[in-house]
Amino acid sequence: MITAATNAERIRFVGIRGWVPAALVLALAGVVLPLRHALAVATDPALPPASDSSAMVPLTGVGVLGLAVAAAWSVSREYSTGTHDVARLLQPSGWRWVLAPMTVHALVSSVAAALAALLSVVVVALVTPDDRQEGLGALSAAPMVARAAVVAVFVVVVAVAVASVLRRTGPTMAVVLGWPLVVEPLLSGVPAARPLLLGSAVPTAICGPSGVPDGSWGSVSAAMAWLGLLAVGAFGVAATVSRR
Amino acid sequence: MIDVRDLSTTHGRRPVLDRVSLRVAAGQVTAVVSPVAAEATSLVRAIVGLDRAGTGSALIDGAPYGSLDSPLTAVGTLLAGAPAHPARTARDHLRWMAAGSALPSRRVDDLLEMVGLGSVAGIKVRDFTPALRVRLGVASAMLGDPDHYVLDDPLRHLDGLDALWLRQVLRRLAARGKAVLVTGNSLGRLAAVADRVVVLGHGRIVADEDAAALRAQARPTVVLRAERQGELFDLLRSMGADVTPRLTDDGVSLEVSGLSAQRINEAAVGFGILSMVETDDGLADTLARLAGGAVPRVAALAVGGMR
Repeated sequence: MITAATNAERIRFVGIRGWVPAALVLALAGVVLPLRHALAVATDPALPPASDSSAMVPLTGVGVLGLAVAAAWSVSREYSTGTHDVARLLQPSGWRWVLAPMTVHALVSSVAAALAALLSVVVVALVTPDDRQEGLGALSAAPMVARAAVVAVFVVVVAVAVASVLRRTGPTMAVVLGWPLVVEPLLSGVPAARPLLLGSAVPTAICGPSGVPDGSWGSVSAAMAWLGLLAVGAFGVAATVSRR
Repeated sequence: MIDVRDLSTTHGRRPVLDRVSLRVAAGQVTAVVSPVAAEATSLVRAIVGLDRAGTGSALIDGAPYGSLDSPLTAVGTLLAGAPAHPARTARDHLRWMAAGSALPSRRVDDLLEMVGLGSVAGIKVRDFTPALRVRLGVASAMLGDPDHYVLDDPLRHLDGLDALWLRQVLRRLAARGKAVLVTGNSLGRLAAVADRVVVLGHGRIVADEDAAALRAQARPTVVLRAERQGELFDLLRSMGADVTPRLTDDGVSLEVSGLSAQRINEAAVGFGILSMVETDDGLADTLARLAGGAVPRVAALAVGGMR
């Protein structure tokens, strides 16, 4: 019956045009901001040459956050409009209605993140002169594109879990936006906490430690494992709460 | 059969239902009337497993809702306010429900036509009036063609012809052998459709009445407009009704009292009814008597609110 719940979620997602925010993120993090970066690199010799990592900075920052916010908003609206109660009537098992939106949002966000990663590299490569490029190309960026898809899944799972636990749009947005924009900058002053912050883990997991100015994580796999652990933990909490 | 046994529920720490026992038989419309909407809502939510029972149980043909393999084919539920995502169309709402229950979606369009939403099936729910939302909620409840129906306060937003439509739907369901539980806070409006009326007060069942007897007592006040209003005025007067012309925003309306709702409906139906609104169900005093002190007093609420 999880298939039925996921199919229903697909209809809901399409019905409310849930793909629009993902498309906006794709346009912003995949085209507009990389284009701006490429033009800056092309015209300002003081800036370092463009690379795969620098092309993906918009995605690792605003892009992933945008996907998380869109997913959390969409799911929390189900609760605040009472639609979640109707869903519980269809299948009383609560965790299915946590897993179903996670699956659909994660899938869509994953595709959007991969496309945005690929597009950002292509856009920067096309606009930046050859002598202002350093290790920039679709082939060399392929592992990063793949990792962007996986990271988007992890982050969106956490965001949907927050929405499923809090069940109100306001508090959900406060956490999903407030954590990276307010709490993490404050915690970044604590060296021991720095590796655990999403602001470090997300770019490291996608671009590797060399691509992050403040490379707090030793390796891609460590950052990826931490994000995966967060996602599994968040799903566990949401599934447990949904049984109440 | 819906079998509620010694059901107690709480809202936070506050008790809502206190050992309520109730059987909703097949082929009958059973109305649960409560002056406090939260009590009836809590009963409905406990039956369908959305609120956990503190003690007691609510069983559908011997099984709790949560253990049903395909709940929508067993129980059709309309929750209070008929919730639906505002950004979704009526058709998408029903398609979503069908998909979530692994039911074929071929019934969706037929149901939308049946409840009178065929022409607005592609419009988003946010643009629906409360009455249209109730119609969508009724269609949702009927999606799985279940043997049991649990409808929370469906008449609240329905006036005149919409209310008449819902009464006909409920009577037809009962005639097909379905067990129908409907709640609300208007004794007169629910007695007009039910076979049996159960009254809740202070979370307990305080009365269990034959609806026909209540209907005979009811003398509602109805404000209506009709195309042939002059002739209707004469007819209603000749039937012994108190009829007073009133100037409203829409023109002259007739305020009718002194007859049962059914007789007013029967009399008016051939005169081209334009609007019909029940302003008093004619049984408010009876409900106050049956529910005892359970009816919230305005003065007490005002004092409580100022503290």
